[in-house]
Amino acid sequence: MPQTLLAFLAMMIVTLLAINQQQRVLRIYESMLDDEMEVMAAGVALQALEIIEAQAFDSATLPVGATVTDPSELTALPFATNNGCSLRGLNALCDDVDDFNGMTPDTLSFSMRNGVTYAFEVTATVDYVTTTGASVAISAVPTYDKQITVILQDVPQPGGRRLLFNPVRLTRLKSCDACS
Amino acid sequence: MFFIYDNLAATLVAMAVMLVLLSMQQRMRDVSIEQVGMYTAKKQSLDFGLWMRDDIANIGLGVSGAPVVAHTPHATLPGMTSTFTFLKKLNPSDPTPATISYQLEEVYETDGVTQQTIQVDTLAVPLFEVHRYVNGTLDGKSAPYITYFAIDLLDVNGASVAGVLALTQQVRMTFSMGVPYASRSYVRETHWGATVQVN
Repeated sequence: MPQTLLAFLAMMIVTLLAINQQQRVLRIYESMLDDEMEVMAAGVALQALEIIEAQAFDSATLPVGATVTDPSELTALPFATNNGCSLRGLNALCDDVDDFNGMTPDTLSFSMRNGVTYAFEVTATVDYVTTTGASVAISAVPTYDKQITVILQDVPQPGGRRLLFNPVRLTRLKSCDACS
Repeated sequence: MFFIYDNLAATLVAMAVMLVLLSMQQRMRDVSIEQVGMYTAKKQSLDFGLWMRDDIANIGLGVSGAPVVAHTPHATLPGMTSTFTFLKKLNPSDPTPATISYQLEEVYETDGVTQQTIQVDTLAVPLFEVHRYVNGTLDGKSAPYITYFAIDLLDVNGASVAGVLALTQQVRMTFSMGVPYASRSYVRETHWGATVQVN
């Protein structure tokens, strides 16, 4: 009887160890995938930032050559949202950076071998900020600096599973060149 | 021997336990090898990617006209770039800009004829390395594990310039690198991408 109990105990311990190890391996694999997805998402985020940053600072600085002498001339807060901006072929409504604030999520893809692509949902927020030294704070009134933040999440796999644990956020500041 | 026969059940259980422990140890060793392979590929990929991004980020520096000189898609592999050539001044004091070229080169076995491959799923994926030339002289190259390399020339809105090099406002770089021991690895390739603005 004691021998049977000991054998049972040994098998139980070893089973627990095996389950524990399997879970650990699974976590390692998920972490590897998440790392991969983060790097790819960062690449796509840079592309989205470049597209948004390439637009004018504000509608008040358009057409090119227009100047702003006081922050009150800039677009007032809160910015409009969901005005149909797309990161794949822009329209006339989206000609300055704050037009992208709260945009309807658009899909940008990361290209891979054999024409395979991996899609990410991209959205953006834009804020006026004040900069003091290295610190940046969101401002409640218009300033000559805008902070563009793009937020990416991978498109769900069949079954609704996402490979990115958390959305990737990248931020960039754009200053007004036409302001004085 | 009599001892084993007398405790046959216990012996079988002990052997089963030992077998499970050994297979667990083997599994952890395989995973560790995978992690090292993945780390190596990731490090090589990030090193090369950041180095290339910093190089291309200053494209057109000190150049008065269009900085992109040539962009040749790969003859057989869809989406891949064979040659990308641009101008920039390596130092502000240089009198003329340098011609910098990124070229995709096949990696061959020691016979010099058969292209090296890496096993990804059921495919034998050919391996490349990217060479960087400055004024025609080799000046650096990637690790020989590149499986995909694409330079896309985009306009101000992120759309392809469709061959009109002078319209280039943004350059998107994308590449994939095979993971060593890929046939035993969960993640077979590592990917990297970035987009930069043309000066």
